[in-house]
Amino acid sequence: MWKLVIGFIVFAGLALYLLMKGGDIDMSGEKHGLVTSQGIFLKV
Amino acid sequence: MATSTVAPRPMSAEEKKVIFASSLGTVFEWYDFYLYGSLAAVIAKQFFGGLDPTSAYIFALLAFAAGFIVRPFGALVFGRLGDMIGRKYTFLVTIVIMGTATFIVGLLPNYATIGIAAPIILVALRMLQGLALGGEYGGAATYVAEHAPQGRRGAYTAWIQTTATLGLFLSLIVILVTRELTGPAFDVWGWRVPFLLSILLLGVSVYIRLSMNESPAFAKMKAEGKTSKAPLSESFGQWKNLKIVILALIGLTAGQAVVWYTGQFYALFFLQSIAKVDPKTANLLIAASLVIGTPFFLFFGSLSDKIGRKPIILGGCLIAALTYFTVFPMLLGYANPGLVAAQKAVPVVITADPSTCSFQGSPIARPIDFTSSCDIAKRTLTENYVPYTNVAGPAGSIAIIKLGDKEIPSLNATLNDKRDAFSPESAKAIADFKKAVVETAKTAGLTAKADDKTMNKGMVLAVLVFLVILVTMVYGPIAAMLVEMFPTRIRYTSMSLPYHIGNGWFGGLLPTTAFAMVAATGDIFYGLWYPVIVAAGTFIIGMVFIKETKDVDIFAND
Repeated sequence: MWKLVIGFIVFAGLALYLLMKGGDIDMSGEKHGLVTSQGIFLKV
Repeated sequence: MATSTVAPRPMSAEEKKVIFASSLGTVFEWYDFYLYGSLAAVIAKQFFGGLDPTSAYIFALLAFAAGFIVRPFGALVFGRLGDMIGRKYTFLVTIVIMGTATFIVGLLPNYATIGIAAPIILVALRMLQGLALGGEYGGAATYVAEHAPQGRRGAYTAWIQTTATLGLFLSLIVILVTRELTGPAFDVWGWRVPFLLSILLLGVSVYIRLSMNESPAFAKMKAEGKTSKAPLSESFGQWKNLKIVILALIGLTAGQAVVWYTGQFYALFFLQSIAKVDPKTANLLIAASLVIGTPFFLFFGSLSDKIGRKPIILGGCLIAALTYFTVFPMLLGYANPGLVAAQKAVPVVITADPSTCSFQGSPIARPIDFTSSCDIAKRTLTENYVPYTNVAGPAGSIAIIKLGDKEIPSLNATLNDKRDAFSPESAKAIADFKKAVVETAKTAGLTAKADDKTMNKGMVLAVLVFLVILVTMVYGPIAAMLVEMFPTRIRYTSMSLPYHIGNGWFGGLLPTTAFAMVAATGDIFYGLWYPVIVAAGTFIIGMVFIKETKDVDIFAND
């Protein structure tokens, strides 16, 4: 169990560090390519 | 199904390997799937840049179908295979399809090189990915659950529930590292590296999964010659099973999906578009909340083995339905107090003939589908998330926006001869109208960006963590519950479809529906009625019709 906890903390720390250092990120995940009524155009 | 209450025992080395191998493969599969979203802008430029509006619209519809139609179809195709030939080989096939399709995207020449073939192949590969994803989740969840000892299925399958979040993080990390290493070349060829890398992940996944054994439940059923010959007709052609599939959809996964999408994706959209927090800060806050929230998938999965799946999942739906209308205004207040003050100080009113106002809720509608002065006025304010009230105007009148003391008349638009864009005059008039509205709203402080100095980041993060914890309540135990609702012979098929329809349709339609509801009423929180009604509906239906399953013996009656 302790290995998992350490592994998670390392992963989480690394992820947040890289995301903070790395500039623009997009956490909005899956996008469906479509022209929506909001005018979102071809975001695949 | 029969029930059993055997005392739990510690996880064996073989079980740890099963969970690790299944979860790792599913993380890689989500990684492949999310790369598209994370690299949407560069992909659009590379593959769709040269298309005329009509062709672009057709490709957009096809890509839309990859998520909404192909994914549930994949659930049927691979669910059927999984119930007939086994879990192990089926989710080997899904990961090979996913990894290969992703790798080919990395090699695919762009529109400038091979013309129209580029977007055609890309969309075909995207469809293959949707197909594979449709089969992967049910396979991994079923495989792990069928290896788990009685009384520990919630804890074991919760690992699979963390994979979507971890896959998203992995894709972002790989993209950031690649962008750092390739510099300006990222937009030219560097973007291909994360796709090409998937071949390595595929190799690791296949190696690990090949070394695994078939699930004991399926192996036992196969040895006894009891496998289903027609899982689709058994699952959906017999009312006693179809009834459970429908209940699993409307009494569990529909609510789970809207709570998940609201907590993870709508919250980000809300921060960026409505609270007007700069994208980098908003994304980092969401990332931090997900990191803090991820262990709760395991916590609630494990807790569900003790107190039951139903109270946790349906409790999450109920809390979501009861608190969203409190929590999101809090989020706005903590993120952008100046904007809240401006919204209170400056009334905005649209006066329009109600018969010219449409409900802008079609997920495949284009801006040119809305030409009336009312629709154009509402879209303009809603695109900037400026709240307003509606006043009925005389029949046939042009809509007018009253912003503070200033009145700005809207316009009725016309289309060009090909009917694929606004006419040049209308396009210019709309642009002028939007500019006038946005500048007036800006002067009134109604589009004020969130200020770092006044934003209470600690409280914003606390609210986001609360939303993510609701996500983990509904999502952590759901795999175990779905698995336990169906017999082994049709489990893969029966559980995959409600999961993907729930998440693809109920969750995927949330942004469009929420936009349309905001546009119709002018209330920036009105879109929350969609997740609130679906989550409340799931709570009621689940409480009345869904039975607790934690003590079900999934080996019995097979």
